[in-house]
Amino acid sequence: MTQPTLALGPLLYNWSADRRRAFYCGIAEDSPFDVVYLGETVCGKREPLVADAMAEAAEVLSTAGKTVVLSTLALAVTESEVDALRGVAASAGEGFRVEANDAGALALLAGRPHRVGPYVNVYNEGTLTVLAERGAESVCLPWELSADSLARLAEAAGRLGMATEVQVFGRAPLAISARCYHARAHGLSKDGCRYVCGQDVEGMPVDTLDGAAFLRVNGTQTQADALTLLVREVPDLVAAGVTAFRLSPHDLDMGAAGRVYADLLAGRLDPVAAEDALFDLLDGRAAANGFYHGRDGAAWIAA
Amino acid sequence: MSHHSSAATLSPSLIGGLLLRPVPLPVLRAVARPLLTRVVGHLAPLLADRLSGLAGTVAIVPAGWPVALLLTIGAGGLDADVTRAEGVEATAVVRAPVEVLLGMLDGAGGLDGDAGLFARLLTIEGDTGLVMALRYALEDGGIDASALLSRLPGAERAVGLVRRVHAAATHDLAVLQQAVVAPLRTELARQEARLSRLEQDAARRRR
Amino acid sequence: MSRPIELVCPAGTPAALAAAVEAGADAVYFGFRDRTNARNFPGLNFSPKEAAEGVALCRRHGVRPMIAINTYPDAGDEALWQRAVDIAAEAGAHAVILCDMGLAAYAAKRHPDLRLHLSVQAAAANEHAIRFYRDAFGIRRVVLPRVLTVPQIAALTQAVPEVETEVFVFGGLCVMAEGRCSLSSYATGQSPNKDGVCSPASAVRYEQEGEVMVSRLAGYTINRFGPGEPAGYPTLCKGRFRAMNRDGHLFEDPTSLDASTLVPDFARAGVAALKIEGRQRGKAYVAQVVKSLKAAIAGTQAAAPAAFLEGGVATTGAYTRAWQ
Repeated sequence: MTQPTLALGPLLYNWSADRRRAFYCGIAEDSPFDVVYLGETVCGKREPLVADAMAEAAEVLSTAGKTVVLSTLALAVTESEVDALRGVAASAGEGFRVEANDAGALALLAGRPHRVGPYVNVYNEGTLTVLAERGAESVCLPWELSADSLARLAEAAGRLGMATEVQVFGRAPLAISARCYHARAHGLSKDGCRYVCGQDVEGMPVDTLDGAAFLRVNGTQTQADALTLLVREVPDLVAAGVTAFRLSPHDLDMGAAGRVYADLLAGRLDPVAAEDALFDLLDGRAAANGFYHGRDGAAWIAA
Repeated sequence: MSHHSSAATLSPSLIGGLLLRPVPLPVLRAVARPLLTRVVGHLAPLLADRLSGLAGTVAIVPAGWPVALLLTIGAGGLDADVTRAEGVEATAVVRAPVEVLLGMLDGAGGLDGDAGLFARLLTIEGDTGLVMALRYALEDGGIDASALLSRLPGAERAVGLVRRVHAAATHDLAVLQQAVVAPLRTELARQEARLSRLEQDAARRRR
Repeated sequence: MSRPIELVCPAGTPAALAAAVEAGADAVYFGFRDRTNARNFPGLNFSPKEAAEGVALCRRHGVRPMIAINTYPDAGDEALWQRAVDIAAEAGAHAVILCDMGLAAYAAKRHPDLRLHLSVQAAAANEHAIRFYRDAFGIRRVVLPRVLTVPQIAALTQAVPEVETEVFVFGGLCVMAEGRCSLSSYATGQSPNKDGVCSPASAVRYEQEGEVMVSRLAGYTINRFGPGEPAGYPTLCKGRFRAMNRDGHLFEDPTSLDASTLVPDFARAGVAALKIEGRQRGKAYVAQVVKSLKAAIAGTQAAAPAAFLEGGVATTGAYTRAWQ
């Protein structure tokens, strides 16, 4: 069995160009990630403002030996969003690697090697077969799958010659909408949003009326407040045939988080010590692993 | 109470409540039992399939009435009984003015359960899932409220009133709310008062 | 326009199906009593026998029966969904409405003559997505997600002319892209995509605090309705939350979709069918809403009673850009 790879998922938040430059320089210089996903997956409106910074990031990361993959929008509806989708898909013909996040991207990439992202509903072996037949080389499985589903799908993907990626670190995106809730909370419309989503580096906290932390709003996306953290579960996932582990960028030392997983995968760190180290990095953020354990996603099932 | 008054002042549930209030529970049970047995005998086979795998008791409390209908769902099928509304205990309790309860059984012309909840014409406490399943089963069982009630003395008039109130509802929901929600509010206020009395008692005992 | 716009009506029980047929539905959609459809509520839906009877009743009245098999099969458990497709095909359903790629591949291969409609749960929101399902599985109609404006619907309908479009015209309004929402799964552990239920009734509790009604989902307080304040479904997207130190309906107010005034626009956009949401609703809803929508299609506006709307309020949702 080859050593699983480590991937850094696409940035979900609307960070400024400067913050993005600094972040990806750091990842390029000092992180164990083999693969870095770039590309805007949440809101097409954000893209033009940070296009230069992201192009630079792609350059810096490639130079540092990272495999760069461009992820497509999860929900492309408007003409400009669909144009953006076509643009990213077209780059697959120019030597870039592309990850499809909706059926539209799958159509545009059909017959060419491509990756399938976590926003495509992959729940069963039949769907994996359809994807493999149309050129998918790898699949990143959705957040809400349980251990049993993940294991079955990793096994099936292996048979189909596909790589399987599982997301082990990050606030799970729970929903995407045509409506922008960040704008709505600020009394603005999506068209006149003033990019207020940029004010919250990890999304806008949403509490219940009782004051319990519950969700995060990230523009048109709604995320879990609790950060999904799979650590003790990693050895079982490796045994099930998962070939890559993905971390989602948050406003913390992602290089350090990556190193914990690298050490865990290499056997330099045991799962309990790795979990402790990651809890330190979480710095008070709530953790969850309920989806994996077949429970409500918000649950934390202790060892 | 005059008969030509508008739906807003005419409260059939109040009339029903007054009619029922002086009757002691054992007497009421004796009267209701044969009817309930017949109704359940008719209903049980129709509902069995949709209620299979579910268990519990749903209390249906017509607001302002001193009695509640208890429907028990379980492996033995369906059973029905009446009990005192005051302090009723069940897996789920549905409270609504009787017009609303009947209206929901009134097939194509009335409101459905969701609409009743949206308009705050009814409340559900306890196991919401059981109430929903019972509702779907009753509806698919084709319960004809009018036919059932025609076996009760004086019920035809009540059904007529129900129809009138619901006709008003389709034109103006506010009229319906005014007409029928008042007893529900009273009921809720009474519940709240009772709870707070119980809490005070408990607090005193702890001291 | 080659033929008049088709009205596709919901049925959660045989009684509701009969009410829809009686009220003049052109097509009726329903599902089996299990996880294979997106209204998997206790006590609701059709046994295989009831489904066959439902299909027969529809056929006798010239109504097109459609069977929704619109959840995502679990890994290792695909047989349940495949059997549902087989039963629907054998019953003679006019179409099956599905969303899963694996299941669509199965249906296309096993039942090549069965008409496939792409469920809204697939959230095919652009022309390329629709082409994907057309090319891969030969879908004949797409039920569009409630994220599109009317001009976008017109453009899509024109861009992929071989695939008919169907849009929601009335009823519950998902404000999130359908089939891509795990809010309920995060709170309750039951997944809309896998288990076919959003805000399962078993996880819902209403509590009365005097005249205030509090709704809780799996222990989370998701709304408080003041005395007499109209309520909505206990779904998270219509919940009241606290953000930026303010309490409010962050995602959407309790409201239902009513796009009956847009019927002429949908017709001009080339839309083939209009769908009424509400397999969980009663006969009263089905009968009255179907009648009023038939009137709207015929050009004689007759509004459905406001009482049937969540919060007693209607919206045209994403069909109007300003909503977004």
